[in-house]
Amino acid sequence: MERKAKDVIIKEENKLPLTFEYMEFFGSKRSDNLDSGSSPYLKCKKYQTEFHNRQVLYKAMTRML
Amino acid sequence: MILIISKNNEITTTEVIKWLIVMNKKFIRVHEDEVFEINTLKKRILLKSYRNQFFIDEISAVWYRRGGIVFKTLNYQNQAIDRYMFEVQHWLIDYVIKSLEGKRHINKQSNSHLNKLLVLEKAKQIGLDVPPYFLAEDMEDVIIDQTIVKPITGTPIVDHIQENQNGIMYTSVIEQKKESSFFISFFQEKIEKDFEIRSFYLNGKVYSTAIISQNDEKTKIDHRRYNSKIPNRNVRYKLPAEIEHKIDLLMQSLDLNSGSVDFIKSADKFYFLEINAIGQFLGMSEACNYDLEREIAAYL
Repeated sequence: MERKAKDVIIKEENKLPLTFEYMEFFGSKRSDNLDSGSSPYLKCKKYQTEFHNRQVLYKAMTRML
Repeated sequence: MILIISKNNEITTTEVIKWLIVMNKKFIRVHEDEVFEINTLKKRILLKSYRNQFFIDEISAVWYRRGGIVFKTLNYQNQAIDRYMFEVQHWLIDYVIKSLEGKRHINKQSNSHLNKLLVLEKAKQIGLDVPPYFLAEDMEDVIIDQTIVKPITGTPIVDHIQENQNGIMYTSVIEQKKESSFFISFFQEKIEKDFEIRSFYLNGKVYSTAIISQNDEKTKIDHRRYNSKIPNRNVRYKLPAEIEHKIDLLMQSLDLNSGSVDFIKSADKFYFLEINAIGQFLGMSEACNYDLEREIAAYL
């Protein structure tokens, strides 16, 4: 069991499903702050979203063939 | 006008919208934080949020992708009036939601979150092979290295379980017995797989991808433990007609016209695992050139 999973489980009074003992942890280092210069997102009126991906996506080989 | 019920940060929605724009189809995208008021104007029902407003009669099609349409409800001081008005507002909201779901649609807000346990039972009834499973609070019936445990929730992710950390529960093989009991958990027989199959179902048509995950120790049990350095090979696959027909029956019995259906192929058997009505499909669409985003836009 990952140590973080143990830390989480121990604090709970009630039992948890066994799946919690196999839980893995991940975190995002990317900023969701849209005003941050390092945010990968742009506000986009055309697509009606504030999370339009700033990165230029490559075209997969299969799409080019 | 197409109504898209989605989330603000949802790339799949954006990819479908790109095709709607190419096809000159007008749309409204609703985010998860919008709360709608129901008003009337010249005998028409008007829905209004902080960023959108539309008449329900101007909506021609609805795509339920994520999130949900949420409505503002008013409370009253007098308890009897409050109870009465709760019912009035309930029926208005019910009318609006059912009116929208009665239009041409891809999935519905009211039934896109599935009970995995009931879906497994239905799959068995329809005649799909399902790995034997059981619920238990202890490991008495668990066979080491031959039993897996997995969540019964729609998503395996627990957001913000700790500061700056999310948790994820992959399918895991039980390698060691545990003496103490736990909350009811879902166990299933581990199937030795040739490969996994993810099928995307849309209005009777099935688009399948074989995910060659078993050769990589990291992805062997759960292909979602992605190996970004050596990704699993994903190739187009055609399920036998009989299996596609059973998928069609299963989806119709659940009143779904879209969703991802997961299988394991083992020798000559196709074991049904689960359905995700609102799962991701961009990856397989791109890998296999299925253009599912265009198919969805064309249908709406």
